[in-house]
Amino acid sequence: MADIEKPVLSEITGEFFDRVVAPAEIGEKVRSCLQCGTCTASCPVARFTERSPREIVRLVLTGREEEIMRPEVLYYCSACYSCAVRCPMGIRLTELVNLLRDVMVERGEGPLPTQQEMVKSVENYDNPWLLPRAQRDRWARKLSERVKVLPGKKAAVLYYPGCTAAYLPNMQKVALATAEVLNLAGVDFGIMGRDEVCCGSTAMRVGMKGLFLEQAGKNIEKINALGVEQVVTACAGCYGIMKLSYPDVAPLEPRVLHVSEMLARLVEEGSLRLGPLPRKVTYHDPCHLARHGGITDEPRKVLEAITGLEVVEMARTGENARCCGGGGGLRTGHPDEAARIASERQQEAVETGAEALVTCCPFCGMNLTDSLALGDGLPVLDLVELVFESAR
Amino acid sequence: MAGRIGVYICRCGTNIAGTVDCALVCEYARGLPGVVVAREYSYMCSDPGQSLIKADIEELGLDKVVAAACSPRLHEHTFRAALEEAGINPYLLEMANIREQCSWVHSDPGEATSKAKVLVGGSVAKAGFLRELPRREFPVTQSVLVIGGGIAGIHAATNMAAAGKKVYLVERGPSIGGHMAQLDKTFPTLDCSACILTPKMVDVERYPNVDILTDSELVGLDGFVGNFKARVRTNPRYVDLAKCTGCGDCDEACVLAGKIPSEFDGGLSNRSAIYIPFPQAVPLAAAVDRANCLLLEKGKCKSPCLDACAAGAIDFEMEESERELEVGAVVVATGFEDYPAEELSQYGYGRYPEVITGLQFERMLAPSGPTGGKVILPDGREPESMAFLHCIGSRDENANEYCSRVCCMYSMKQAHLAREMSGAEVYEFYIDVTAFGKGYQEFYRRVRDEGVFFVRGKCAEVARLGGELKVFAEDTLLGRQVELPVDMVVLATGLIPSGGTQELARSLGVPLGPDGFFAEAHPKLRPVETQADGIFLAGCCQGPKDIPDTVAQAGAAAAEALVLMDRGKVEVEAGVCRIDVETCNGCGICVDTCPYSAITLEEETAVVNEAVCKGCGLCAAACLGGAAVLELYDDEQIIANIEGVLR
Repeated sequence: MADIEKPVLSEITGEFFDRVVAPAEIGEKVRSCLQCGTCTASCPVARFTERSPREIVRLVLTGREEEIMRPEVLYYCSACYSCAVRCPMGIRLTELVNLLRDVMVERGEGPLPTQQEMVKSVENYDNPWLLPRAQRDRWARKLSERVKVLPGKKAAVLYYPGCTAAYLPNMQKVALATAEVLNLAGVDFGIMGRDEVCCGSTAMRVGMKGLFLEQAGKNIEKINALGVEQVVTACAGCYGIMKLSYPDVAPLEPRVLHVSEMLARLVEEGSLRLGPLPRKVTYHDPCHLARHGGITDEPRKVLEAITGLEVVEMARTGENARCCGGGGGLRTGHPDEAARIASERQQEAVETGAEALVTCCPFCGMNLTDSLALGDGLPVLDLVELVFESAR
Repeated sequence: MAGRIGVYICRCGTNIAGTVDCALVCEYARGLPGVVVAREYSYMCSDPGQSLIKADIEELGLDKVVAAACSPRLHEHTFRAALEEAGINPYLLEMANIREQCSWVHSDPGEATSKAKVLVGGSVAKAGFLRELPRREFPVTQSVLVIGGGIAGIHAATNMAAAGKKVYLVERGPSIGGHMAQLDKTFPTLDCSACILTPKMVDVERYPNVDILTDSELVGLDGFVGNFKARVRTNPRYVDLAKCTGCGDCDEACVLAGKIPSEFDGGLSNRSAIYIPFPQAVPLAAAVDRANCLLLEKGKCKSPCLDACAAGAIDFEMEESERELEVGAVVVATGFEDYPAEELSQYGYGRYPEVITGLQFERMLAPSGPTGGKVILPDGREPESMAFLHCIGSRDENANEYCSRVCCMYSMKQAHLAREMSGAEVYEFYIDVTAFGKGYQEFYRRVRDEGVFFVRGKCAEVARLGGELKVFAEDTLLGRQVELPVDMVVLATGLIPSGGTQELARSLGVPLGPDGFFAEAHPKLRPVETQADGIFLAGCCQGPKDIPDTVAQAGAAAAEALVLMDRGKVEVEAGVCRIDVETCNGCGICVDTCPYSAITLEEETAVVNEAVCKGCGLCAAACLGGAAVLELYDDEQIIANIEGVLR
């Protein structure tokens, strides 16, 4: 049996809170925590960690630095934002954990060893997949003349596929389908080809603030130089970062759109005609699109525009969609847990009676597909793939 | 222009003297032109303090008084009364606020003292130009308007009617009774809500001096305290209240019978387009739901209701009417609305039929309700397990920050009744149990003793997974995640202001608080008054409260209104606008500027209706020729004030 902690009162100083958390922007609300447990009950990883999100807040406020600054506590969060959007006191818990990860990295105690490989890859190759820069535009070869490469040419829209759709052989279909659909709709777009660099999301989420700033800075400079009006991405992670975190780094001149926003507009304007596709699907909202970015209607509008397509919702959907487990560095840091969470999400999809699971993030797509090895599940499709099939 | 001025500096215990050196201010005042005497005292508002002033007026022949003390909002009337008692005009008083605007907001004693001197200097200079003004009094109309026919409005109306006043009880819906009529039993005593409410409903109707105006709304309020003119619109009910017997034959005959969700039953049952609001309704008469009636909306219906009505009470030609009521006071009792639970999508309200609100559960418990008092699931089964979720829409930045004050108690009452009636396993998910009223802690303990299972954690989500309806929470006392399958979920939804509160507030000229409820004049000392004299608040329109507090507040509001009416006259501020007829050229700029429509042009000269003028001074600022003058703040006085400050 453990001893009663002594002296209890003198330990509760909140000194760590005052020094580390309070000066940051997120600090202002942390003190108001009611310890109601909404965060923990919403958290997909709380059952794996040493400390739940609710306990993290309490430990931070009582200055128990040693108990909290541990990888077993801080490196499970999948950055799904469920706690943050539901917290009745408006505490931005996801950002609190991210801030603590930044401090872990500053102290040389983070990120996790497996994540360090990924981080090195971003440092050296501008992508997390340990693949050379020269391969970034490989996916586009099949398109040959059907895609412009900027800045050599001019275009109104930049399509930014992001590292996962650009590099991973089983996800390149997302990049291809996006480009094909934009062509079909007559959108004047181009890509950056080999010049593209990682959006910085992977670095930011594991606490590598410096590397994130570097990547974001490079990206903003390069994109601003292209003179495009809009940046469109088909990756929820890239979207969340560019739309919500870039403004804190430097102004990004073109407007950032997720492909679902653009497709919804094209469908509404009549520029994109979608043919019949008699199929029953369910839609998984990516965390960074739905909760972080607040976009839940547009992907559904696009799906509704496909005649014959029946969309059935999962039990937890929209703002309440359960995380696939892929984000926040969890897939790299704790692959087994990430796969288990994905498999549970797949189970929800199976319960709908749908024949396919549609999402609109290659990272979610990859994680949900890989989880099929663990058990039941539905084939995973990206929204743009489905749209391409129906528009052809 | 001096005079014989006395200056009285209040130390206000240490409130002022803690920062301001009152002796130095006193000495400074003695050296100012016109000052005959200057004194400091610990509490100038106290009897001995006032006696000092009165004695000096009488013995030294003072003709102006400067009181350097707190805000005039607090004690101006005290000092004016002292002047009057000593035999001089009460408006020969000038106040220097050296507390709220000086000692309380400064920490440096030296600087605070200098500022107090300057403020006193300004007041002394202005005092020289004060003139005698008449006290302005108006009679008070001996009738009152009560807006809202819930328990608050009913109680206030009954008390004032019993005191012999004419009462207009205006209710937007087709019956009085409000939310209390929907409740089954009341906490913590478990008396039947209808059994204690309906006698009061019948009682208020029986008073010959009470006019109950159902289907009616206030559309405008003019005038001032004691002398309001209220415009009330009555929407057509399409049923003649004098003829209708409340038999309900029309209800059964309607082609839409059983098709329209009943608001009284929270949508758990259906009604017709012509219906009796509820069995104990007052007035007990049918009403036509205009939005759903086929004849009124589409112009096409066989109208079997007309044939069914033996009394010939139905009249589709009825039109809306408007009347003007002269009242001396207004009691606002517009109550609350249920928080719209569908806005927090994580709880599955509107998605899962087994998830219902507290008010819906009340209807289920009621013997006259949609299930005949049985706790059952939509498929007719009795639930074997139930979860009651606290704080839905309350204490939540995503909804409302405030605590709705009744949900913990009603939820525990419902848990008790649910166990009693169904034998189900019952769980309460809570953050803190707010059980502060008389007998509430005892009830909380009773419910725990009975075996209701309390989980200390706010429910995060309700979802049907693997065929089971599950409640997700954390048992924060154990630090473990809870995933509890239940048959039924009852949301303890909070209270929000009634629809139309903002519009009503604008009509009344009464401000709302940041929570959207009506703001009382002072949270502690003037809890039923508003910033608008003669308008009082009762019940949940001022903020969520339980029935005992609502009734107590309604009684207090009635008492305040009675004080006003029984006093019989109201004094209004003397500082109104005066027009110098010699100077006025009749340009009319003041007429356009006045926000209270208090000024008219008569024979090319502006004329002020002093009863309506609020003394805001906009006309005086706008008048190009200087003909509009604001009493107590005319140009001479303001300039002297400034010069005194700059001395």
